[in-house]
Parts: sequence; C-alpha cells; structure tokens
Amino acid sequence: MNLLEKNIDEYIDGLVTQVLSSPAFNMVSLQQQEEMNNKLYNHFYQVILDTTIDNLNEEQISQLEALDPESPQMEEKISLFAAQIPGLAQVLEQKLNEEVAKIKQTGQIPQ
Amino acid sequence: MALTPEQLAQLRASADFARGIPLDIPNPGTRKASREEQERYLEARTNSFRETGTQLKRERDHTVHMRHMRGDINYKISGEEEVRLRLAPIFEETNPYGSSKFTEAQKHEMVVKELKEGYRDVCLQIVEGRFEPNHELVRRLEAIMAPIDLEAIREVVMDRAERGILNPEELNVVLENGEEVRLEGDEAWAREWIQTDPERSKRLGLKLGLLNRVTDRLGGMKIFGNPAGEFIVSRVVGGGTRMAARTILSWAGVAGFVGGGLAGGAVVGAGIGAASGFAVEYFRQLMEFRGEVKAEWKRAKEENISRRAAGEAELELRKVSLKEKLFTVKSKKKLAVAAAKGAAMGVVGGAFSPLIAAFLEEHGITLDFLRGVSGVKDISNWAGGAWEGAGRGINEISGGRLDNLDGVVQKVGDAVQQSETLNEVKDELAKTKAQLAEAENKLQGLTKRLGNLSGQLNDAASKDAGVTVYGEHFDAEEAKTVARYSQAVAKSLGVEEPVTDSLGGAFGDLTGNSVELFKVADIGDFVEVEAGSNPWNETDEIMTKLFKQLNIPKPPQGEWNEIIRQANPKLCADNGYSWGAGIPGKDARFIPIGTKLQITKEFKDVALNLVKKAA
Repeated sequence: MNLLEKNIDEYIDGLVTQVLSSPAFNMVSLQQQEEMNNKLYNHFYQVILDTTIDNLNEEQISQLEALDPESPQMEEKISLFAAQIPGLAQVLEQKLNEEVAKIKQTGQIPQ
Repeated sequence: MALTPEQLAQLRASADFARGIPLDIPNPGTRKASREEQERYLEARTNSFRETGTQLKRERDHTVHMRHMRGDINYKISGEEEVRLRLAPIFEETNPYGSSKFTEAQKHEMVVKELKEGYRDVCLQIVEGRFEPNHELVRRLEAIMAPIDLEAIREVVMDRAERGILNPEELNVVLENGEEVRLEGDEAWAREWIQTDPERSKRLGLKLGLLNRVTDRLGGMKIFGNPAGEFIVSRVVGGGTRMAARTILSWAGVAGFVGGGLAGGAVVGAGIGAASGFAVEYFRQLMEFRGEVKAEWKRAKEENISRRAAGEAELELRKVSLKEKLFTVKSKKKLAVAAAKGAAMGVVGGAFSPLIAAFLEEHGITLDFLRGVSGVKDISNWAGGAWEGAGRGINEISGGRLDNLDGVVQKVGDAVQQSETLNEVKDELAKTKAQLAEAENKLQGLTKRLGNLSGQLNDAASKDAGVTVYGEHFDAEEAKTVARYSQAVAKSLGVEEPVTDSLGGAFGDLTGNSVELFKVADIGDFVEVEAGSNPWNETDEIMTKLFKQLNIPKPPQGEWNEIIRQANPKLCADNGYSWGAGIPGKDARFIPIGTKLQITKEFKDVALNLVKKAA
C-alpha cells in the first residue's frame, strides 16, 4: 500500500472514529460498535463510489458498464476517471463530511 | 327584407361616393344618362384619376419617407425600369458586328429574372419578419407576377436556422413584438396619410376616428366602414393579414376603388382587381408560411428538449444501475480507495505536472518517449497538459493525473537501462545523491512554483494544517487537503527526504519558500516569473518581505493591492517589460514564464517609498 492509499485509509478511519465518538453513539455496546464500524466503512465507500459515478460522463459510464466489477481493470478505470474529474477530491470530502454530520445528527447509518 | 327604392338609392349613392364618383352624378349604369350627364361623368372620372395619380405619387413618397423614419428601409425589390437601368451596361455590350449581344427577348428575360430574384429575397424577408408588405411593394410585385416558390424559401429559412443565422426565438419576437410595433406604425401612418390630404379625406368621407377603428379592426380582417353609411368597404376575400388589408385599403383609397359591394359584404371592388388580389393572396401565403415556419421551429425545439431530457434520464438510469452493480461488489473498498486516489491524484497531478514536465524536458525525456515506455496513452493529460496548463489556475489543470507516475519512473529507469542513447539520463539518475539533491532542488523549484498557489492559501488556516502559507484565497480545509496531497506526491516521486522539508512546502510550507523568495528581495537579485503566475505575485512577495523587514504590519487588502499595483509596473518597466503585465484584467502571460526580473535600485526605492507611505 502506498502512502496515498494509507492516507485515504486514515482519512476514512478518522471519519468512522468521529462518528462513533459522537454523543449519538455513546451508549452502544462493543458488539454493536463493531457492527456499526463495518456499516460505516461500507457506507463511506459507497458514498465515494456513488459520488464518483455521479460525476462521470456518458463515455466513462459506458466503459465501466462493460467491465467486470470485480476486475482489476475496473479499479484502474475508476481511478483514471476520478483523476480526470476536476475538483472531485473536494467534492468527495464535502460529501463525506456531510454524511458524517448527518449520521451524527440522526444517529442512523444509512443502509 | 327587401330594401325600399329610397334605401337602394342611398346605398348606391354611398357606393358611388366610395368609388370617387361625385354624388350629384347619376350612375350611368342605372339609367340611361343624358349626353350632358355622360360628359360630366367622364370628366369627373378623368379628374378623379388625374388626382389619383398625383396622390399615388405622394402616397408612395410618404410611405418611403415613413419607412425611412422607422429605420426599416430595406427595400430590395426594384421596379422594371430600375432593373433595366441597372442592367444597362450589360445590355450595351456589343458583339463583333457592333450590334447588341442580346435580343430584346433575352433582355426581357434577364430583367424578369432579376426582378424575380429580388422578389424572392423580399419574400424571404417577409417570412423572416424583416419586411412589411406595403402597397408600394404590391405595385412592384404586380409588375412581375412571379409565383411564390415556397419550398425554395423554406429551404433557405431552414438552412439559416440550422446554421444559427436565424434564431427561431428571434423570429417569434419579430412576429409577436413586431406586429405591435407595426400596428402602431400603421396607425400613425394612417393618421398622417389621411391628414396629409384633407380633400381626399373629405371625398372618401373618412374621419380620423373611423380610420383608427378601421386600422384596429384590420387585424381581424373585418369589414370596416363608416357607421353613417357614407363609406363602406366590404370584406376582403380570403382573409389575409393586417398589412395586406392595409395595402388594400390604401390602394382602394388612392385609386378610388373602395367597396364594390354593400353591407352584405361583397368582394373587393373590381378596381382592386386581379393584381391586388394576386398580391393579397401572395402575402396571405407568405404570412401563413411564416406561421408554419414558426410552428415547425417550435415543434423541433420541443422535440430537441424532450430528446435531450430523455438522454439525460437514460444516463441517470445507467448511473443508478452501475451504482447497484457496484453496491454488491466484494472489493468495494478497493474501488472506493481507487476513486479517492484518482481524485487526489487529479489534484496533485494537475499541480505538479508543470514541474515534472519541466524536469523531464530538461532531461531530454519527451512525451513520446514516456508514452512508449509507460504505455500511458493519455500521458499528455498530465505531462503535456503541464506545458499547456502553465499559467492556468489549479482548478483548470486539476484534471491532470499523476497516478501512473511511479510506474512511469520505474519504466523510464528500465528503459534507460536498455537504451544506450539514454545512458546519459541513466547516469544522471544514477548519481543518486547529486541527482537527488538536484531533484530536490527541482522540487524546491516546484515548491516555489507552488508558492504561487500558496499565495492563495489562507494564512491563518494554513497554520491549522501545520504549515505556513500566505494568501487569502484558500480556507483551512483546502490548505490541509493540498498539504496532504503534496506529501503523498512527494512519496510517490520517491523523495526520501522528510516530505515536509521538501515537497511539504509545495503547497503549504511556504516558510522555506518565502525565505527563498526573501533572499532575492535585494537589489541585483532576480525574481522569476512563475508558471501559472505573473510578476504580480513576485512583487507581492517582495513587498511582503520589505514590510516584514521593516516590521510594519501589512495594511488592509485594498490598500495592499494598491501598493502592489504601483510597485508591480515599476518592477516590470525596470526590466523592459510592459507594465500591463500583472495588472488584473490584462494578460498575465505577457511576460514569458521563467523570465527573470531583476530588482533594481529604482524599484527598491519605489517599493520602500510605498512601504513608508503605508506605514
């Protein structure tokens, strides 16, 4: 794992910690916390993917549609396309922060 | 109910009056007139037509005058005489025998052709709402009697629309608003028309109020007339348009051919005749056609909108199904990280690419070479874009990418090993320490370039990010993000030195960067015009240093900008460049990137003077 990936991981870790340490999640048991932990990671990954897809153009969508979602090519293409979307990093951060705020406020993790 | 003989006589008298026949002259068609009566009648008719001729000229002059007044004198169609005059030089051409090259029949044909072309052009203008038919036009068209080639006109109009020369929306405006304007024009015209010749008015029994009513009602092509029964104009055959009706009215008035029927609504009088009927019919067709064109455009536009909406909706659906597809994927984390990584690289790639490109270029590594060794086809996104992107802001170039850089570097290394021609590069790269030092210098250069960006970073916010930056345009979160990415890139570049000391400064740590810049703020030193920057930033840095050196607080932004505005041209001018460079609104790239501007004594004096003033 390179540094950038590590940074991204740490960033997501930070978001999860931020949510779980908020008052809305104070009272949950350890077991529940673990479950929520997984849900949160999953949710944040989904947010990243959804946001990226929302910003793709028709041609990029077509290319992704043609790929096996589990294939390394899919990973490669997503990375490539994401790099081509101006300002996506900022959009992602904003979106993730909004999600964190929403979850902290409602105490609910979207499914 | 049958009319009484008195009523009939009254109506007949009205009709005769309307025709311009003096009331006291019995209609010769109703009874056998005496010789004397017939002579009086003929004399009256002759006078009437003589008068009419004068009026026609006056009327025509007036119309042309009014068209001038309205600014729409776009009167392309000519009369036969005018066309003959225009073609005269051609007609005068002679054959080797000294006689005319053209027979009379040929000349006539040429005139007609010319007239028809002019006519077609006018028809086009009418369809496009740029031309208002009037009686003068009718008169000229009458001479041509050309058939309307609606299909040809349609083709031209549609072609113009397709090429964007004619905007259907504008056509609507012309039609909808133009009609109102024309209506006003008509009323004014009619008012003047009637007032310019009180005798005519009297003769025709027209009153201004009546004429206004007539004009108002023309739009609906209703029968118009004098409520007192003095003057009756009956319904115009086949409807038509306001303009066509006005044409008829004016013709009728001028020529004395009003009526022809009575209250029952008979057809337009025989005096208007086939010629005007022809013109009316033409205009009616043209106007209808104009309506068709408008409707066609509207339909096409709606279709286009719905087609686009359908396309967008379809794309949205495809996105949803792609999301669903990825929702259940096992390697969701991998994909998400890949997306985030790409997004991050998009930022740093765009920012760093100019520097990397410069570095590669300096080492003779071309884009083609990189493409070859890396297999990255779109390498220009980040490398070529670097050259092209110089001078642009980070937002514009953040579409660049650097994610394959480590692979590229590796492949470059591999290729270097395999290529003797590149051994020099290899040697350079192999001189690890020196090379690293040089690379670091380059990266310091990057840092300096990125200092341009730093100039936009928020001072206070950047402290939160653990770096020191200048500028006001980025907030804390952006500064943090940028710093984090710059660190990541440093690593991906294989820079082993602590990131924060080298690339860490790239976006954020402007401490080192600023120190470097401060060093050059002495007389004789150079400041370099940066990629994506202009001398404005350099001047800003120098002035910042001077203020700091003199321990004077930086003035408010407006005042500060004014100081830079005064110092910057001086710096440029001292170095022989247009002082327009760096002035907001001017082309900041006027001074080539990389230009070194020297700090002169004169500049320093000006700068210090400004500092003192601000203090």
